[in-house]
Amino acid sequence: MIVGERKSVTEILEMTKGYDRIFVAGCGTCVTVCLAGGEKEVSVLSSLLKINGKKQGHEVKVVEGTIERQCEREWVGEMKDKVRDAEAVLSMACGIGVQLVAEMYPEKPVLPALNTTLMGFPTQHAIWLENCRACGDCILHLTGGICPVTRCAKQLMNGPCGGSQNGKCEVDSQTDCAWALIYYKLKAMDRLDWMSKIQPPKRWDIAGHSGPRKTVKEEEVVP
Amino acid sequence: MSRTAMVIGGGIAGMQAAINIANQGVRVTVVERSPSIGGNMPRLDKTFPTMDCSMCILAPRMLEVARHPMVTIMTNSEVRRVSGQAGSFTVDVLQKARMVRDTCTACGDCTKACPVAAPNEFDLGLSTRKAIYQPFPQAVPQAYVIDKDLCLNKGHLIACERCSEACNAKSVDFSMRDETVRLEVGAIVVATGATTFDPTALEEFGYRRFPNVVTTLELERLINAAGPTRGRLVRMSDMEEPKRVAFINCVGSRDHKSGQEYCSRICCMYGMKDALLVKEHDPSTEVTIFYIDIRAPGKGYEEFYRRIRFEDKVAEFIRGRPAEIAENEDGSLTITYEDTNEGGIKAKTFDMVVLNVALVPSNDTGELAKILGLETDKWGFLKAPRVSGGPLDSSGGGLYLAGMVAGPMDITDSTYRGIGAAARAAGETEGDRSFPEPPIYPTLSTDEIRTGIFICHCGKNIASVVDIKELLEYSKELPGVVYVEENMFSCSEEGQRSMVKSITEKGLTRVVVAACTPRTHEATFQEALREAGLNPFLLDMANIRNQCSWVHPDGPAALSKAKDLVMMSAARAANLSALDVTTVGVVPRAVVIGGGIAGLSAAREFVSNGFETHLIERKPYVGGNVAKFSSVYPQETSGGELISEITCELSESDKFHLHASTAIDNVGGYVGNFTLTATSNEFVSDRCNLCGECVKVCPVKVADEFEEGMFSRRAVYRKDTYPPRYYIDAEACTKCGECVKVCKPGAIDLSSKDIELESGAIVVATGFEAGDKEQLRRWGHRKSKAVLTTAELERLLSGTGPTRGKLDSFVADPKNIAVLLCADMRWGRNGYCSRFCCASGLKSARELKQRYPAANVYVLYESMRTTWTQELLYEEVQGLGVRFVAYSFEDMPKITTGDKPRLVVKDPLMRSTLDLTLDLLVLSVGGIPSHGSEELMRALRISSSPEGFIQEAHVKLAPVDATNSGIFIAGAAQFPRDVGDSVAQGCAAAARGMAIISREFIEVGGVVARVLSERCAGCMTCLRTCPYDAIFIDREGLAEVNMAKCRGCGICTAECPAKAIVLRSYEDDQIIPMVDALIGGATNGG
Amino acid sequence: MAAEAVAAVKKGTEADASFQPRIVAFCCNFCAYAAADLAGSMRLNYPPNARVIRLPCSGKIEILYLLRAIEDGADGVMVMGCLDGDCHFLNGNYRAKKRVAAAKKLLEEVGIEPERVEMYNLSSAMASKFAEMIADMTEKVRRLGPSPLGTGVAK
Repeated sequence: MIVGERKSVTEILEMTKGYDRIFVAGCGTCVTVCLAGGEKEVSVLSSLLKINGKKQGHEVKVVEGTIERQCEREWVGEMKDKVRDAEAVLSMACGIGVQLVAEMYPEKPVLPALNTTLMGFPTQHAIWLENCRACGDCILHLTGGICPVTRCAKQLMNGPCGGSQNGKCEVDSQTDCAWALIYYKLKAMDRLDWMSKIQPPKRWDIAGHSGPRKTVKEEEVVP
Repeated sequence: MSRTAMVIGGGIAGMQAAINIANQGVRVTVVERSPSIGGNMPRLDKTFPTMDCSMCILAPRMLEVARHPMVTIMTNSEVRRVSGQAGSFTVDVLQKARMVRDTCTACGDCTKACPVAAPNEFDLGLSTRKAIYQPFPQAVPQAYVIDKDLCLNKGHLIACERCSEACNAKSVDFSMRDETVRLEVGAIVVATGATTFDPTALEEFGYRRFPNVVTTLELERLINAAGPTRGRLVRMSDMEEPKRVAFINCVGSRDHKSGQEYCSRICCMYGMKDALLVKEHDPSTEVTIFYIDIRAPGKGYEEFYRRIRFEDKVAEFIRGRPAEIAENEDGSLTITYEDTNEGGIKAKTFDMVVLNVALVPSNDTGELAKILGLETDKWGFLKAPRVSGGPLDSSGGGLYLAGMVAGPMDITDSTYRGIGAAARAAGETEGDRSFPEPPIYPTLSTDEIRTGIFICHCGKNIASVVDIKELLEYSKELPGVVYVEENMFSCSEEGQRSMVKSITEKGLTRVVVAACTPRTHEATFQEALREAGLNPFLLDMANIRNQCSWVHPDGPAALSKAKDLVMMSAARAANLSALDVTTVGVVPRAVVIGGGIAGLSAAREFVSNGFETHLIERKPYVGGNVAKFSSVYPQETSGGELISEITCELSESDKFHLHASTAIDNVGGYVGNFTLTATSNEFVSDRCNLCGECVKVCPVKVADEFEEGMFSRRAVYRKDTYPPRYYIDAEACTKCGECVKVCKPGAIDLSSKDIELESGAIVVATGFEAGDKEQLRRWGHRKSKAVLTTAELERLLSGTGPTRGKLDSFVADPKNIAVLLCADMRWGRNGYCSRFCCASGLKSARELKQRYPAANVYVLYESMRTTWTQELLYEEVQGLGVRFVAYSFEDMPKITTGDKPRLVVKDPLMRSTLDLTLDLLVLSVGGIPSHGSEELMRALRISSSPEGFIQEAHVKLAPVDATNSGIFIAGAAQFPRDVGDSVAQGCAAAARGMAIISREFIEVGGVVARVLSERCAGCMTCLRTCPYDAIFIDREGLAEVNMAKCRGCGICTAECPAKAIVLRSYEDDQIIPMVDALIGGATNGG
Repeated sequence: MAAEAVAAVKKGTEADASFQPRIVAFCCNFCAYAAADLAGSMRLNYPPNARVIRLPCSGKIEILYLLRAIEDGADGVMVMGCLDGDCHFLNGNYRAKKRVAAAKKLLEEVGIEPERVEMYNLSSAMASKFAEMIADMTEKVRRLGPSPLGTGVAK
C-alpha cells in the first residue's frame, strides 16, 4: 500500500495561515491503514487547528470528513458540500488524493497534510518497509520475490556490490543487503543457478524518469 | 442434596481455594478468625520478583470472594467441632459477635467517637487503633468491628455508647451475641497459614531490646505508603531515616537452637525485595545482606537475585551468620560476624537491622489439627503424607491443605495449592453443581433521556462538608435531568428501595448516583436499576465522597467540585446505552496435553469430578520424567509406582481417553469451545497380549529415550509404565511390516489417524527435558562413561531399570566421586535456577555414599538451595561424611576427561585447591523447556517467558492460567518444579478448567469492544495491539471481537485509525462530553 | 513534596495564588482510581483542582481526548496509570505514556506549553503519592498561569 506520514504541525500551520474555514479531509484506504490520514488523525489535526486558532484569538471553523478513497472521482464528488463551505481543503490523503481533489475543485486551494513516503508493507505494527518503486518492469520472478530496484541502495541488477557484510548493506548497516536476501531465498528454492543469469540493462525510461506514465487496459476502454 | 465445602482461613491460599471451589458450582463457606479476609498479603508493600504492589493485586481478588454468590464469608469465626467423614462433615463454627451490623457504611464516624486506643495489630503495633475499627481500609467485609476486650461497654458496667450515638447508619448493635452455627459440608480445605517467628528469644539479635532492630514484616509496614509512617522509612529510636541498613537472613531458620531446622523457603527472596524497597526509598542508603546461601528457586527469582546483587548492586552481600548485635549510644547497631567467604571475625555498624525471620505454624494450628483429627509434623505444620496427593492431601480423608499451613511457601505456591485443593475438595462433595441464574438485562427503549440524580449523604461523610441542598438545586438544572433525590445512605436497603421506586414512578431512563466509589458500589446500584427494569449499564456514579468530601474539608471548594463531578456524570449518563450480556455454550470436555505427573494429576481431577477427559501424549506412554525416577524424595516410593497409582485410577474410568503417540497439529476456537486436530500414530491397539513376538522381528535399533539414550531399543518396545502394552515409535519405524505379520492378536496397524477433538478447556502439561546436553558437554558428558547425569543415574539405580539397579559396568571400587550442582543451570545460556536439582544431586550423593562408604564423596555447589525440609537431607548428607566444596561461577571447576575425569576446583573455605582423579562424576541437571513446546505455544496462541517455558497470566495470583483464556498450565511446562508441586499444579490447572466446563454456558458481553464494520478498513491494528488475542478478521476481511476473550481494556479503540472500534460504555461520546461539560461547554463540537 | 507544593501555593511564589487551575485527570480503574479512593479513606488533603475521569485502563486514553481538553480550555490534563510493568492490561500504560509524549509534542508545535499535559504512574496503594501528584500538577499549572485558550475565569 501507499504509506505516508503527517507533515510537522508547524509546516501545516504555515500553509493554512490565513484560512478561517478549513475542511480537513481524511482518506479511508491506504493512509488510514498506515495510521497517517484516517478518521482518527483527522480529528487530532482538526483539534490542533482549532487550538491554534483560539490561541491566535480568532475562531477557526474546522469541518472534518473522511471518505473511502480520495483517488476516485465519485468518492471525491461526495465531499462537494464540505469543500464549498471551506476556504481551503487540508487533505490527509497521499499525493494522488491531493491532486484529484485539487483537480475536481479548481477554485479551491488544496493543501497536503501528509508527505507520501513509500509503497510497502508493515514489518511490525507501525513500521513500514519500502518494497516497490513502480519501476514499470518487474523482475521479481527472477529475484526470489525480493526487489533489487527498491531494496538495493545501488539498484544493482546483477548481484551484490561487494560491500555487503554479514548480510547487511554497506550504505546502511541496519538494512538487509537485498542481494544477500535474494541469495538465501534462491538457495532455499534450490534455484541458485538464477544468480548467474545476466540481466540486461534496465529500461529506466519507463521507470518514471521521462514524464508521467499512463496505464491503459485496452479492452475496458470504450468510446 | 447440594454440594458444599468449607475453607478454613481467609488468606490468599484460602481465598483462591474458595473462589475456585465456588466457580465449580459448589457452595463454599470461608471461616476466618480475624475480622477481615486477606491474611498476610495486605500487610505487604510489594511482592517479589515483579515488585507488584501487594494490595493492588489482592484487593480485586478480595472483592471477588465477597461478591461471589456461591461464597459465604464468616469472619470473627472459629471452627470448634468437626464430626463425620469425607463427603459428610458436620462442623460447628463459633461466630463471635461483631457488634456492628453489615449495614455499616465504613464511614469511620464511630472511630472518631471511640475513646479507647490500643496497638494496631495490622501495623504490628507500630500504630494505634480504636476499640471500634476497620482492620485496614480495603478490608472485606467493609463493616467495622468492635474489639470486645477493649470496648468499655462491658455488660453495661460503663454505658459508653459513643460509637453507636455517632453512627448515622444505626449499625452498632451491642445486643449481638456470639453464636454457634452448624454446617454440613462435603469437604474441608485447611488454609490457616503461618506466622512469623518471634525472634525475641534469640537474645543475640536484641529484638525488642534495641528499638532499631525490626522484623521484615515490620519493615513492610514502615515502608508502605499507607503504613504508620505514610511510607517514610524511619528507625524507631529517633524517627530519623536510616542511612545504613542491614538484613540478616535465616533468623530462626536452619537453626537447631530455635527449633526450626528447616529452611523457611521465602525469606531470602523477601529480604532482597525489602532491600530493594529500602534502596528505592533513598538511593543513598547503604544496604547489606548477611546470608548463608541465597535461595532463589522460582521463576524469575534467580534473575531478581542477580539484579539485586550484581547488576544494580542494590546491596552488599556478606556470607556469614552474625553472632551478635550490640547497641551503640547513638542508637546505631554493631554486628559482629564471621565472614565465611573471606574468613575472620569482623564487625560492621548500621542504623537499622532487619531480621528476615523464619515462618512458623499459626497459633492454634495444633488445636485445629486436634479438632480435625489431623497429623502434624514435628514443628506443628500439617502433614501431607500421600505422595500421589502431592502436598494437598492431609492425613485425613476429605480434608485438604492449602498454603503455609503445610509449611512455608511463597504467594505463587500458596495460590496454586489453594486452587489445587479446590479441585480435590470439589471432587469430594456430592450432589448437583449449582450456578447462579444468569442475570436478566432489561433492554428498555432508552432514546428519551430522563436522568435521575440520587445524592447520598453517606451519613455525615458527605453531608457535613458538601452543601447537599445546593447540590440538589444545581443538579435539577442540568441538561436531561428530570428528577433529583437525596438519601441518607443510598446503598442501604431503604435507599435502594427508594431508588427503585423513583426510577419506576418517574420513568427515569438514566441514573446518576452521587455517592462513593464505583469500585465498591457500582454493582449494588446496577442491581437497583435492574430491579427497576432498567438496563444496569445506564448508570454513572459521581464519587463525591472519596474524591471530594473526604479530601477537601473546605466546604465551598468541595461543593464546587461536587457540582462538577455530578455535571460530568450527567453528561456521560445522557449518552450511555443499554448493553447486552449474552451467553455462549461450553463443551463439557477437557483436553490435557502431556502425560507426565502434572498432566496425569490434572486428568485425574477432571475424571474424578465426572468430566470426559482426553489426554494427548506425544510419546507412546505416559509418566514423563517421573516414571524414570528410582525414588521420589522425600518418600521412598519409585516414580513408576507413583505413576501407576494414578493411571490405575484413571484406567478404571470410562471418562478417560488416552491418545498416546499423538501430536497436536492445530488449535482453533476460544474459551469454552476449542477445536483441536491431531495426528495419532498409536499403531498398537489394546488387543496386544504382551507376547513380545514383534520385538524379536523388528529390524530397527535406536537410542532408548527412556534410558536417557544410554542403551538402545527396537522401534517396537515397551516400558514399565502405562499403557501396559507394546508400542511403536513411529519416527523410527520403517514400516517394514514384519511386526504386523507376527502379531497373533492382530493388534498392529501401521497407519496414522487424524483426530479431531472439541473441548471447553485445555491443560498444557508438557513438562521439561532433563539436562541441557549443550551445556553439559563442558563436563565431558557423553565423552566418558564415568560422567553421568542425575537423570541417567536414576535409571541405573532403578530396580526395574536397564541394569536392575547395578552400577558395576560404570563404576567399580571407586575412590573419589563428585556430584556437581548447577551443572547446566544458572550460567551460560540457562540463566535461571531449576529449583529441584540441588535436592536430586544430594539424593545421588547420599545413595552413592551409602553404596560406597569407603569412597570420598564430594558435592560441588555454588549455592545450596535445599529449601524447606530438603534442608534435612542436606544435614543428613553432611552427617554421612560427604564433603561440600563451594565453587564460584567466576572460577568454575575444571574437568579434564581422559580415562577417568580429573577435577580441579578451588575450595575457598579450606583456602586450598582440590585436584582429584574421579571414578565417577555426577552432573546434577536441571530442566529446560520440552522439545517442541515453542510450536505448541504458537498453536495455542499463548506466550512464552524469557527462559522458554510457558508464561503465566500473573506470576503470583494466576500462576496456572496461560495468557489465552481457557488454557491452563500444569507442572514444569511453566517452570521446573518438584514432583509434589507438579501434582498440586496439575490439580490447580484442572480446577481452573472445571470452572469453565462445569457450566453450561459462559456470559459474554457488557463492557467489551465492538467493531463498527461499516467503518473498518481491515488494517489489523486492533488485532495486533490487543493484549488478549480477542480480535479476529472475519470472512469479509473485517475485524470482529470475540466477546469471550475481550476484557474491556479499550486499547484497541485508542489505536484504531478509522474510529471503527469502540469500547461499550467508554465510547467517544461518553467521554468527550464529560470534558466538554467540565471546561465551559462544547464551543464547537466536532 | 506535597507539603512543599502546597506551601508554595500558599505563599504564592511565582504564581498567582488566586488562580484556581482547572485540571482533568484521566485515571485508570485499577491503580490510579483505586489510589484516589484510598486517599479518600485515609482522609488525605490535596488541592481541589482536578476532576477525575475514570477509564478502564490508561491505554484507553486517546491523543484526541488530551487535545480536546486543552481545546476546551483546561489548564492542565493528567493521565494516571499503573506503575511501569504493572498494567492490569499488560501494556496499556506504556501506550498511554507514548501518547502523552506525542500530545505534548503536538501542543508544543501549536504554541501551548507541553507541561500542561503530564503522565503519572502509581500503584493503587500509593494514596499519598496520588495526593502529591495532584498537588504537584496543580502547582505546576499555577506557575504556567491560565490556559491561553481558557475563559480565564475560575468556576
